[in-house]
Amino acid sequence: MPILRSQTRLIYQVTRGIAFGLFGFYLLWNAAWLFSGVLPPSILTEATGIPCPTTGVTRGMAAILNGDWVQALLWNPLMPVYAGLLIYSAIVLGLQFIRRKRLVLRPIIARFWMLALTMGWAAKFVIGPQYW
Amino acid sequence: MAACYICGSEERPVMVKKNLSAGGWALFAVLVLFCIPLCWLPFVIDGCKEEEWKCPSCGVRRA
Repeated sequence: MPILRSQTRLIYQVTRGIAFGLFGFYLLWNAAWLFSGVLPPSILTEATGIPCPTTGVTRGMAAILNGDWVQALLWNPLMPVYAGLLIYSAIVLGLQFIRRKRLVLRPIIARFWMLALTMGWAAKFVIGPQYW
Repeated sequence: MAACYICGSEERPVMVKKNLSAGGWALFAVLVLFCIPLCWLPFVIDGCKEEEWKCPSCGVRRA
C-alpha cells in the first residue's frame, strides 16, 4: 500500500518531535546525574564502548569549574565551539519558535555544526580512550 | 520553467512545505546512532530538506 502524503507529513512531524524530545531527555538525564552528585557517563560509550562527538563535554565543564582548562580541553577540545553553537542555535530557534516562524538555522551555522561534530569526533579518537 | 504535467499551466509553482530529503534522513539516522543530543539538527537545516511544490492552477503537487 503506498504511503499517503498526509502520512509522510505525520511521520516527519512525529520524528521531529522525537528528535527534540531526545535532546530534552539528554538534558534531564545529565541533570539527574549531576543533582545526585555524580558526573554523567557518555550514553554511547556506556552502550557501545565508542565515544560520540560530544562525549566528555560535561566532565570538561566540571574541569573548567575546578580551573583546570587543560583537562577540560582533553575531555573535549571542541567544547567551547559546541557551547557557542548551542547557545546561538538555542537563541535563534527559540526566537523563531516564539514568533511562530519556521525553525531554520543559517547555512553557515549548519556547516559549522557539521564541521565541529566531525572534528570533535576525530579528536576523541586522537586523544584516546582514557578521555572517553 | 516546466509546465504543469496535468493542466499545462505555466504559472510559477507555489512551495507548500519542506520535508526531509533522503540525505536528511540519513544524517538523522547517523546522529541518532552516534550523537543523540544533536539528532534534531537535520530538522532545522535547509540543506537536509527537499521542497514540495504545488501548481497554483490545478493544485497538483510535485517534488
